[in-house]
Amino acid sequence: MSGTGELAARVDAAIREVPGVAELYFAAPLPARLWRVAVERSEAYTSIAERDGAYDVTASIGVERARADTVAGAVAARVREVLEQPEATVTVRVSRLSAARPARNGLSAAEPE
Amino acid sequence: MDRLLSAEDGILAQRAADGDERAFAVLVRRHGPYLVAFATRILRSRADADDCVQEALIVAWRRLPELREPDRVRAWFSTIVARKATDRLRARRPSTPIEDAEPLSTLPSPDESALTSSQLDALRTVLDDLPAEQRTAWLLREVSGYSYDEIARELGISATAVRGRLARARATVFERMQEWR
Amino acid sequence: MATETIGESGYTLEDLSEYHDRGRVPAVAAIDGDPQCRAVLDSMDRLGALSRELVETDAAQGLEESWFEQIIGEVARESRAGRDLPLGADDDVRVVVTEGAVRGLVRDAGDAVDGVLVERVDVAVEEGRVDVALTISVIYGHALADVAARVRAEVHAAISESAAWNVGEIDVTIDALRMREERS
Repeated sequence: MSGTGELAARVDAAIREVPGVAELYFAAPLPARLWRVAVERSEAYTSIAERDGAYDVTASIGVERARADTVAGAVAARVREVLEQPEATVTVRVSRLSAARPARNGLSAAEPE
Repeated sequence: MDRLLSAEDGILAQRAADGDERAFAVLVRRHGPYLVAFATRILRSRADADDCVQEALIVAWRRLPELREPDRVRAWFSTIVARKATDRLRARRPSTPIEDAEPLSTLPSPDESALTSSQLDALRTVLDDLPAEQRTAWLLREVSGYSYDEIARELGISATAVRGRLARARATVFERMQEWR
Repeated sequence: MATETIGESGYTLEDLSEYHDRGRVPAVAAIDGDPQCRAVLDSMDRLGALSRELVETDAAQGLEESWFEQIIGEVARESRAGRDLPLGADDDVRVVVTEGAVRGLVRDAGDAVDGVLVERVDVAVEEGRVDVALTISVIYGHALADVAARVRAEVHAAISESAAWNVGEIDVTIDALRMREERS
């Protein structure tokens, strides 16, 4: 279930600014048949639900050159800031993980496309 | 990633099965054109073939972990495309099994054919003019190498019916290609 | 047409069509010995080959870039991620890492070693302990034991530096050697 457009968009933007977050993914699984529709419209990546007045947020991120647990913690904090709700439930799914530092033989493990 | 561009199908398929999208992208670029050309012959429409193969490859991405012989990924892609294409053909026709009665186009005679003189163009026309189920049986047999049983399963008919369709298709194609010569 | 026999063989076109499709085995003397039958069978061979050539020729025209981008875009969005593996951390935030993410991390680490192209990666995460099995191919000429050791070192570093994980087994199988210049 995706959040209301504007709020979710703000949360998306905030998450992108967290150091170590390389990209966002759709947090909610897309039904297979709607893939064409999804290509044309833009929908928020982070999913925001409300339960008994509290937010329940799931974000799916790609982490680059940083520790997954550190970045996830920072993302949760930022999300709570944007929502102005310290008690919001936040789940962070790390869907891509690039090496925390370049490989020892000098080649970057995560080659830029 | 340059090294992936020259990697064998088998390696790419294994990586893609594990979730490597870049490896899958290389496979799509490598085999896409063939699959679309094949689907175009079945569907007689390049636009339909474009859509059909896109759908097929998305399905293939999801099902890659099922592929037991990564080296045979191209043939495996073909079977998914064939299935999608025959589904589309079936969806086009009304439910009564009447073979489509499309008007036959005329082949350019050898004299007129200064522009389209190639044998390939002639065969393309002849195949397009075949009734859909003969054309599909032909393509699955001659291009994809399916057995009679496999074709039977694909088209929902008996192996005996496949035999008959192939024979009729061969008779027609042979006759019309002789006209061209 | 269906009942006409070809040449003096006594066999119909449909018979010949099936004979052709089973590779002309077991051999039937009446067919193989009849010139008209042979001519028909040969034409079936030719038309089959021409059909394959037709598809290959059309394929050579290529496709629009946008066609590829739509597929690749959708695939990237779907990112077949596998199971969610809990990463523990504090009770403030629930962190999970997908199997796909860990596999990708391990794959990138292995790829970074000179001469290595990773094939398969299997990971198992249990209570903060990560066990990994990789299958790789190596360019001919590298010392294999050396390569395996370096892959293990890179994978170990990548895992332990990405999260508070303990690194368990790192199993490296070399199942293929590649020549330096592969197919285009």
